[in-house]
Amino acid sequence: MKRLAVLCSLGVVVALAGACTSGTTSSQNGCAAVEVASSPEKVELLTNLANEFNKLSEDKRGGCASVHVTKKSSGAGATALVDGWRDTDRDGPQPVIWTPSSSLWGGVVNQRRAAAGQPAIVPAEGQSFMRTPLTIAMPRPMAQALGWPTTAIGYADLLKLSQDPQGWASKGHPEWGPFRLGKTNLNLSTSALAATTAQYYAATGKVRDLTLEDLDRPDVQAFSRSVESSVVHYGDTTLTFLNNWYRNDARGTALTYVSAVAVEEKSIIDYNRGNPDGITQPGEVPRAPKIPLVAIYPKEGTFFSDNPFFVLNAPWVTADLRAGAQHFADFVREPTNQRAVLKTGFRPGNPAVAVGSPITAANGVDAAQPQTTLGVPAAAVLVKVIDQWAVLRKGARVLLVMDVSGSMGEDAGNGDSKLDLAKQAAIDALAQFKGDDLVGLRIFTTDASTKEPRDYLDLAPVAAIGGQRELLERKIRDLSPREGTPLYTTAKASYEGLKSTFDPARINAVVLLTDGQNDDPRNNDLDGLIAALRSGSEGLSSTPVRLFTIAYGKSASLGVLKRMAEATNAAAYDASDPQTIANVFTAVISNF
Amino acid sequence: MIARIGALVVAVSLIVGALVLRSHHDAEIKRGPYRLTCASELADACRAMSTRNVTVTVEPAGVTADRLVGLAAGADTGFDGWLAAGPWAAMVAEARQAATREPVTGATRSIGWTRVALAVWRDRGVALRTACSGPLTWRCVGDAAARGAWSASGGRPEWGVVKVALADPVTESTGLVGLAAATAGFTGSAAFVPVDLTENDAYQRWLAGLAKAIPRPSPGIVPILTSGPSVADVYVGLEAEIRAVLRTAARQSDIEVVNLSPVFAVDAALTEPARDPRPVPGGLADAVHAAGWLDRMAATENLPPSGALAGLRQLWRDTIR
Repeated sequence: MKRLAVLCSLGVVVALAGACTSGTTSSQNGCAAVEVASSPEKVELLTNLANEFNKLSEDKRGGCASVHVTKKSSGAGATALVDGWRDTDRDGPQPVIWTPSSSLWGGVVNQRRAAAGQPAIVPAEGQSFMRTPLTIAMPRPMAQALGWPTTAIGYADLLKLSQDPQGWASKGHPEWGPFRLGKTNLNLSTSALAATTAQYYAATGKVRDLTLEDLDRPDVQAFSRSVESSVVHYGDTTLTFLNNWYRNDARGTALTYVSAVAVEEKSIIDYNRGNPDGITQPGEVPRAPKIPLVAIYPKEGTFFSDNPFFVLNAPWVTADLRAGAQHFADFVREPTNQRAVLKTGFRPGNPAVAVGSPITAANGVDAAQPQTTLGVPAAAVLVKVIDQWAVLRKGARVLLVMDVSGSMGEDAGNGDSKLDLAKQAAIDALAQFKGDDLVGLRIFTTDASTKEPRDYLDLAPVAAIGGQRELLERKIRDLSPREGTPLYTTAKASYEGLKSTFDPARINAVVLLTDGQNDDPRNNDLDGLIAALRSGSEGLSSTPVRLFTIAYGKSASLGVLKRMAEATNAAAYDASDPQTIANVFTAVISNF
Repeated sequence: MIARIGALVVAVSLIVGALVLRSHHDAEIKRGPYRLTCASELADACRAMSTRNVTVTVEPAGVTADRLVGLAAGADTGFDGWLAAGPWAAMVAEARQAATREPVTGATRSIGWTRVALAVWRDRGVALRTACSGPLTWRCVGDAAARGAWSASGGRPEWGVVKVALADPVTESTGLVGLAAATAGFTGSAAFVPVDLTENDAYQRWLAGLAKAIPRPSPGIVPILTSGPSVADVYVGLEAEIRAVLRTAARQSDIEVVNLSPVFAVDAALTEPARDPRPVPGGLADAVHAAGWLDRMAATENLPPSGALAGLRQLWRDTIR
């Protein structure tokens, strides 16, 4: 009887324990995630750290919330926050922690929200998780020609070289052609925002307190316009340049692709380790480049990308999520995790961890640099830097080439056809061009025209978009799906057409969107096309035209389009999911 | 019999005491967690206190002070305890009194002490001593800052310009007490009168020179250590904060901590609201001491009175900011 009582008691205890356990499980399942929106260069690192953090006990995590990291470029994150991060389909989950590359963006967001009558959403300060200075990457022989490493080099020196009609010949290297600068798009990229602000500082001779009045000075604008005029093309991320540089290095043409690119120190380390995009794919064996890059720390001063953890003052950030975010912020600053940060080429944000390898001369960088850090301008000044860049940046001359083959009429998954989505994305993207950019529209399909050339048809000439924006929009809106896909003929003709009318004062480019593969029996010569594109783009070509390609939908051959784009030192974009076409178009147009 | 009565009295007392304690405890629970507002310089100590029973808000002391000065009579201060370095509560009380408003802050007590200090990269310190022709002084640091280029103050040209990190004296305690120390160093007296300083051309020129060398935003000791002297050559702050970071810093041997004359003592002052004060959570003083603040301070000079600090803050707001 006594045993029975004991068993019954045990049964009650077990039942209660079971009830408690299931309650805990349900509570865990009901826990919201601490969403982190991270700039791309550190998303792999943060994802690994989040996985480690999520394995900790709830005590150490400060609750049951787990951390989930998604990629968002700094500029795109800033744009989403200005709007209150309302479009989660487009922008991803609403973040609790926003970690752009630099604190510069926090002020920009709050300033733009204030202008729209919205309260600040980004706290005044974020805890810096790691740091890396903005540098100017140059191939070692080019830096040496400028006096590196014994002579300090700055923006003024590069401007002087870019304005010299002799180009690199003035430094004893005519074989390198003119000085060519690579920069990213200011609306998306931290390195572009930092580099352009640093340009303004260099123009004023200041190291802090850049003012709105400084930006209006004609001499300062002239300095900035001159620097921009040496840009080969812009890019959505610095990885476009680094990947192209790396490919050119393999072909022995690294010194004629581009002379200098504004990138973070960490990217130079990645490049010199043979991993230009900083992401190691399974099975990838890094191979060091033949010509390494070195970091120029501009003598006028530079910025640090401080990678802040901004725990947002947003309505969706509850007290529990805030507490979880703080625990994660503390976790990533622990010395063990900061050593992991250092391994990836960033400088630790915790002073307990010394800066050391891989931040060494062997990797082209110098831990003792920079000598001067520039002051962060007021938010209103940063906003004006961005707005003014849209006017001062190098002009574009772009032929938009759209596939209107029959397959574009297929359903994109939500009732719209693929062509419907592409048309809307293209119309929206036109807004990114400035009024004096030259933009034309060409469509291609079998028998697009009743007379030769029959494979494509120009619907709008390459002309100032300011005067034909409505025409372009109307022509795009009226497109309808038709026949086959004469891809190679159209690509070659478009590229050569623009090349024959090259405008040296502008970025000359073709943007080609296709959803299929070449099915033209009259021209199926891919190798011939690639050879033609490459021969027009290598060496000292004074008429570089870039062919940017968009692989749209599942049937498009990304591999073929990548070869075509890379042959012209441009990039291919993947829109295999038709719903992403709007974001992809934005990324493509950010090259201009 | 007497023993029984005594026992009964004790028993009743215990029960009544327990009931009173319980009632007090229940009342405290009903009021929710203790709300601790901490100034930036005490953020680490306060975060260690953050539990279900204590909610911590970190806010620059000047921001809290300005909010309290403008608060309507009888309104909630937003905290049960306000922890900040220096006499901010007295400045609030004096400002409200001058505006004939009711006090909103109650008793203040010191729960830790530290000193104003200067952290300087060793190689920069060597150069400055050469420029000073002797030990470092506030006047000499300000003069070097005013000259701008390091090459004009015994440093190497590639160091660029002299950069002195001093937090905004209008909002941050470290900035205000640092400015007070520098001013006392320049004038040679802790008994300076801010009104007189506004008419002191030499001081105004010196102050403008110093201000010109302050990076905007002025960095804290952590980014200075992680990014090196490109961010700042000299940091003006509180010894507790500087030494707490240096204790584990990889570059601790590259930095020297100097107490320039006059050496001001600064307290971590805990202020309660004028209405409905609550018991202070246990362990707060320990957390402050664990963050490097001392239990007591050996003889040093006390800060100028709150009125002088308020005047100095206003002077900075009017002439420099």
